[in-house]
Amino acid sequence: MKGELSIEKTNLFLKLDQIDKQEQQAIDGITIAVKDNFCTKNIPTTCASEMLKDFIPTYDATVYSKLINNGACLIGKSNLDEFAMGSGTVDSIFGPTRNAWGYNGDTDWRIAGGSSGGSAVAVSTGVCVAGIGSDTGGSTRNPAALCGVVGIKPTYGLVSRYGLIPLVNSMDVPGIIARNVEDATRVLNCVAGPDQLDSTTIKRDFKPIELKDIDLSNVKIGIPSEYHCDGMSEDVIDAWKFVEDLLEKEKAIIKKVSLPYTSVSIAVYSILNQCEVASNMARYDGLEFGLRTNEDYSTEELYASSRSQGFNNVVRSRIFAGNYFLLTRNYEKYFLKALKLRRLIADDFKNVFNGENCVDILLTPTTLCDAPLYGDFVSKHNRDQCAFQDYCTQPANMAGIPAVSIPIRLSKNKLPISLQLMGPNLSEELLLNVAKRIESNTNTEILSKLNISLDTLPLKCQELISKVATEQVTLSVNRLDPIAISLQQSRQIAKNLEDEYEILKLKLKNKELQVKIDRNQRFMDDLRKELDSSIESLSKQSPNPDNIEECIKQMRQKVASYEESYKKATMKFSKLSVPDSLLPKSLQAQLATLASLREEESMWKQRADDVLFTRQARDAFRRRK
Amino acid sequence: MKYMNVTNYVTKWNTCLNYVKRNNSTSVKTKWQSVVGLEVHAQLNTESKLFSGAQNTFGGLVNNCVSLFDAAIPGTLPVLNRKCVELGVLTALALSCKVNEVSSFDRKHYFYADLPAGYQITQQRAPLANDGVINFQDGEEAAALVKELVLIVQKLGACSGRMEEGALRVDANVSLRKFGEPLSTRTEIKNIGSIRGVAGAVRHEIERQRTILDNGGHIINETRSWDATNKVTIAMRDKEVVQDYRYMPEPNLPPLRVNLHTKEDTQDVISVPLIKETIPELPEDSRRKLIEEYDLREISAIQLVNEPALLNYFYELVSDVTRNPTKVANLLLNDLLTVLNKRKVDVEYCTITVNQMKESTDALLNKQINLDIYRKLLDELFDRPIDFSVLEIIKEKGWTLESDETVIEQKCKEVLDNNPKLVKKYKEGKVKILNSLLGILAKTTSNKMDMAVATKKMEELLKK
Repeated sequence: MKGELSIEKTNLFLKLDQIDKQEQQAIDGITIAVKDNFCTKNIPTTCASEMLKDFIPTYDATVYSKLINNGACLIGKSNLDEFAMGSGTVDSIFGPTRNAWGYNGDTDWRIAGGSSGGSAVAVSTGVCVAGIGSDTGGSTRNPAALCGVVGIKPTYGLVSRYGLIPLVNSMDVPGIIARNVEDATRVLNCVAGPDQLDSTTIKRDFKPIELKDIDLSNVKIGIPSEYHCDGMSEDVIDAWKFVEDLLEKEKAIIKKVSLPYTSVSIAVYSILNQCEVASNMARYDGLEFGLRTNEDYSTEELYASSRSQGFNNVVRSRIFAGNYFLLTRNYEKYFLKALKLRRLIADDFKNVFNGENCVDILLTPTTLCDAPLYGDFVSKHNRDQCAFQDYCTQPANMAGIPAVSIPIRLSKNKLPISLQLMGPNLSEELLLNVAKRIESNTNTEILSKLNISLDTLPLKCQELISKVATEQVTLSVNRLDPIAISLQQSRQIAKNLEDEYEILKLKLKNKELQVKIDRNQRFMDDLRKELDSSIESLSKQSPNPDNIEECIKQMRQKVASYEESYKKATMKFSKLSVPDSLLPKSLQAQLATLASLREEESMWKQRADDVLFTRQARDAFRRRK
Repeated sequence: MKYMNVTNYVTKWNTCLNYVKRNNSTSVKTKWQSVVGLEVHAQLNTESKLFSGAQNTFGGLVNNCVSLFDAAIPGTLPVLNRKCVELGVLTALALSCKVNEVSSFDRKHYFYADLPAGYQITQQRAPLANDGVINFQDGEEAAALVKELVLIVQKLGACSGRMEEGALRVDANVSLRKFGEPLSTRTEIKNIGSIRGVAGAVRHEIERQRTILDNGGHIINETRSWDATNKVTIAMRDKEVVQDYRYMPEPNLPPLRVNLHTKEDTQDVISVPLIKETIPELPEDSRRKLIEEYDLREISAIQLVNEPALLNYFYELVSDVTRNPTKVANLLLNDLLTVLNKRKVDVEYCTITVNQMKESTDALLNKQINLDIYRKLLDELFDRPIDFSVLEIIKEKGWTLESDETVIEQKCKEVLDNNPKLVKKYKEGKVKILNSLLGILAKTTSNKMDMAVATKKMEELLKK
């Protein structure tokens, strides 16, 4: 375990939140450990690498936010191989994770499996109820198997990868680790489903998985001969046979099947893995976060030195190999060929699930043997270890199909042995129901056989547990309550303060508004007064505006008659065509009158318009009042 | 954080726009034939970016248009912008491309300070569309092709086409070969930011290579840039070591499928026939329409279509059949453009309203004002409030043309009375003197006479 940093703080606040929420949620108060390659807002997410040592994400991975929204409490981020590249959880900048099984002190201990070893150990030791891992070639199932717990690798696309720092994008899936099938199923039900932020999720709505008593007589179970490979321990073979017999007794139909391309799977996986790694790691250049060397000769030099110091040997060698495979001249020779073989491997599964003589699920071992000793494990190269450890698990990632690993019994070394069930895409419900049946039948209660005493645990676990224990002992109920209460109180005070602040702000706003209203009121009053006075003055005017129209009418008639007589007069004189100056005086006088009358008319017209306008304004004003 | 406004360009047309420029000159130099290929990067005119929800605004606040994905924060994933695909399909259809039912995305890797992820997402192996054709007027110049492309994407609304904002950029590949020989070493001129730049860069590069080859030198494969001030191309970096981009399929984006056959359009599958219906009238169609329906000369049609704002005025003005299309086109292309050039205003930003344009043009066509006044009027409009009445300006300035024949005759008489020498010369047979007399008339009446009437009257008076 790592990440004690955030344990106490996170726990406390999350608990307080829970108190507020009245309704019970799916995994209310369930403690979880999340592998340190899932982004968690404001909590460091390191991928166990120098490159991300100081990386604090500003966003949550979809898986994590779904868990928190369903009531889970994060107790810490768990250890992994750097960037999830490994199968032992030994290549981490925080040091290796130790298995609780078979622990005999600092020099004699077993690896936890990997790369999600931290989550598996956290669950197996009871530090938390469930763990989140990632599974690219077996990284969830492998440590679950070696630690004696249940591990689920869902169908590719069932659970969102958004926020999971990628290893091989086309194979990565978030995985779930729990002590039994029921717990694991419950967590899966919380995290599965489409996500707009991940274009590769399956768009269909997710129907929660139900665990029920199923009739095994309708279930055809395949035993693939290719999984019986060199190096598989007798313990594992025995356990495999044991469960096969057990299922047969339960009336399931057992068939021998063949997956001929299984043996090439590891080589194909290795090429695809390294190519995607080379690409995914290109962003770690030391500029945005992580280790940045003092090289300042050029940007290229800075990239080169930061990258060579920031990654461990495993990561660096995968980047080199991947870039080599992706070179234009090699692309067809390696990458395209690997893709074609990947298709054949996926077709193997399709044939076995859909073709003639088809089966519903496959039963295989998860690992070839029980947990190796640390010393033995690190004596071999990481790549060889992966090839060996992932033999049974990694074909499922190639094909994208779901798989679940369940503990069966203990080996001669008193270490857990687990088996794996695989099914076609989206067959989680059948897989988990069969797993549940096996679990209840084997009834070995593997975990109860795990002798957890403080001194058999890894050092950091010991520290943590003793810390929790002392706190629990020293805190009497009486002492505990006041703390909780005072916390609640200060929370309440903070809330009240916030409310008061809001009220104050509103009051201030109110005041401003009142001033505005008053100002408007005054303006309206002035207007009203002005209007009243103008109404009054208008009524006094003579002629009164009300009969002004009559006046205009009369005036028009007058003008018309004058115009008429003028026309007649002009007609008379036009024949004579005398200049204007010679017109008779009477006509000139008439013309002058006409002009003045016209002027008067236009004046009255003007006044009528004014009156009309005032009236309209008055009406409008009244209506508004 | 150093990354600002990480914008996404879609490179689509590099294969469809390659063409061979024929060299028509007949000098000794003709032993060389130049070959020019263009790669055009057009930035799609969308609210948000191609693979993230970040804003896509030119000149936005620093670091405001960057999402977590743009900054390559670990764990983030690309989400394809539907609008971009729609615009891509629309453009592809307008360029008569073959739209592919399934296309896919690839990562192109290289280290560069403005590339936080260490790779770009592109469509290297199976693009959305390919093999387009573009018909353009005005010879084989590369610049004309770019201009036509700009007009098309602007008309489609797919791209603002503003080269000065970098919304459309051109890389030109130039090589020279002897006629009939295979293609030889080329140079690439990167990031040319204007149409004039394309013309200049290509011309200069052809000249540069020809000089080297004529002097027995050889061309090296290199990337050059265009220096617009000194009008030369400059070597940027050599390409002796060919960059291997290590292309790999983008695993975070499923293949892109479009519906080629039906009008069924869903959230995830875009219907191509449905988009096809939305293609507007393209420049080529506009030109044909102007020539065939409005009887314009080819050059006028090209010029009008090259300036969408002028084309809009044109359509508005000729919507009333009383206005003669040829006259309208000439007024826009000669007089309005002259005024705009004098004022150094881009056509796009001309503030004269359609209404004002109609009123001014009618005033001219009805002989209320003459051409000289017409220009003054257009110029005046820029200093007035938006949509200020044209007639009011004419009235206010006293620009109305005098068309009363008696008044004109009177004025003509005055001119003749005041210039007896010229009249004498005319009567002696120098008929060209008429123009001088008319000139004097125009000058003394500050250009306000209807000159057609005046010419008639003047001739009549002289013949008396």
